[in-house]
Amino acid sequence: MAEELSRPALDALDAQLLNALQADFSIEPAPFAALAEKLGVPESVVIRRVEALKEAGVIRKIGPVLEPGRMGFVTLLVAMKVAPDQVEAVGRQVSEFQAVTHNYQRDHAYNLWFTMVAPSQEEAERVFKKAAALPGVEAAYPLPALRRFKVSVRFAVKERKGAGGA
Amino acid sequence: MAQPFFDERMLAALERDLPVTHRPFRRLAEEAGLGETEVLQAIRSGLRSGAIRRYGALLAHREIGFEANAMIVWQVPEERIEEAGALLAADARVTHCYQRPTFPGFPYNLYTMVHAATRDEAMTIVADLAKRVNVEQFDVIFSLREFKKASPTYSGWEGRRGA
Repeated sequence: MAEELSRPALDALDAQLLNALQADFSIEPAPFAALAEKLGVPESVVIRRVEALKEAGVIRKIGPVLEPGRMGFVTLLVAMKVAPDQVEAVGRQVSEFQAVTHNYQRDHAYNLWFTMVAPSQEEAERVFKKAAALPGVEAAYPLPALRRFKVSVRFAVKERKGAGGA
Repeated sequence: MAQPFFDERMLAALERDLPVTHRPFRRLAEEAGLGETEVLQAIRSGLRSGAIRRYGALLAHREIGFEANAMIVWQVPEERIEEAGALLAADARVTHCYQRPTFPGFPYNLYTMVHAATRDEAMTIVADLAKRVNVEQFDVIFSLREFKKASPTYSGWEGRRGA
């Protein structure tokens, strides 16, 4: 539970802010003022809170989630079976490719799974082949989406007490 | 091939982390040599057309208490995939739902992601989903270690586009 201690506490206003920032951020000249009005607090408070949430690593970024296909990009999931003693080295090397966005060791015989968003089919294939050829990789399969039913990465944030008592 | 929705300069501006300030889009625009109105219009038209899925905060799910990241893979008969995919996608606890090809030793063709506070909580959600979707063959694959989680980068790839 030691890790729990380092988790930032989130009060009711933080939770409200995080939910609003994910769902209905205004595309207008002063979006933080609009948000402040919605929540009934001064804009300066919103700005301070958002900055603190970024510093704490809770907010990774404020920006667009772009549709890869409309940007001319291709996406790919790859499953690999890697010798257990090599999975760390392979995981690190795979992460170095710019096109790789998510890369997880998973609890399965296929133990390394990563996703790519690449500017062309050729780049996706190049990265796939390089990853599959790394020492310790016993099998690798490209798993393109045949059909997308849903992508909606938004999290319902609840208030949380800091376990460290801060 | 279709023209990319944004030109390179606009794309590079949009991809930057929005400054936390009174007029953040003006700041973004100025730094890229664009106008504030131009940037706002580009985002609005991107949202309208679906080139932008959403605009707002991207959160670190571990930091907000979603510790367990479960990939649930389902073996769905081909004739049921449409129905099963739609049903799982409609569930708010499912963030991703894709049909993908099977491969040796892996007969699963429908992939969903669920994020929860703990593995136990994730397993409760999975049991509920399995009952509702009425698929008996499935596997739950948890992440053990995050090597990388980054936003995709769309601008700044050498030689990709003339713009």
